[in-house]
Amino acid sequence: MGGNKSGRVGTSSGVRTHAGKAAVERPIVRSKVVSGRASSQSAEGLAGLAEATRGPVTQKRKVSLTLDADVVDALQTLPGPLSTTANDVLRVALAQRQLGELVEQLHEESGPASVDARQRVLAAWLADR
Amino acid sequence: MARRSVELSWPSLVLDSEGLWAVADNHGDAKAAIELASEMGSLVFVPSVVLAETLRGDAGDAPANRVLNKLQTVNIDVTLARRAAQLKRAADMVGVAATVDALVVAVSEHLGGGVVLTSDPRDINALGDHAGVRVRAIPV
Repeated sequence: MGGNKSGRVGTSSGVRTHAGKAAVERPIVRSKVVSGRASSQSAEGLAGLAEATRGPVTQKRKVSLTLDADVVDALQTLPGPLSTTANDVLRVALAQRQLGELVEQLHEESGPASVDARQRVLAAWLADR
Repeated sequence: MARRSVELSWPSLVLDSEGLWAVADNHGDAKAAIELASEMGSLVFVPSVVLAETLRGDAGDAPANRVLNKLQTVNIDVTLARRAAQLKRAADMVGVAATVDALVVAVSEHLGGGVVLTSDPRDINALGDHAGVRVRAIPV
């Protein structure tokens, strides 16, 4: 993925191919991969997103995991218990994975969105009021 | 007046009823919004009140359920309900439709702002003008 070091999203023009379709010039928005977001996402933002995806979960299950040392180091830089932070990161990552699966479903049905559609959507977000 | 800098990535994408069905129907702009959210690392949310408004509880819900299985549902609690009431009053709006719109905007605000996929951009933007964060409607 082509995100920058701050974790902020940038844009570029690029060419993507889709199965059975000609290459289309499309504006691409990229971000860091999920595993990279743990260190760039603010602890408050991460907890907030995780909370919003949580639903009525009340049970916890104790498990033993073996993680890369640098991952544990990064998690421990965030405030709060390690289990809570790891749970929040995993919850958001799972939600992003599900969203990616939906994108794949939509693409299988009718290919990617048009450049015009993507530009209309971004323009609506950036519009002054 | 200096133009405020706006992050290109939005914090969240929230769907109202028509927004949910636009995704289920693979509408072009809805698909673009979902694509962009995924590329940004953003998430997509559906307020629980939208389910009550738009689902029928029968087989006709299948397309919407297929989408909902991949998205995040946000429960409406007392805090969100009270905030929606404030937004509705601030925007000088009344009625059931406005109440649902206000709940959708309250959820967006709770998530840090972002975009709302909707068939009613005028009301969503009017409510969003009173939110404490940037909320913008994407018409479908």
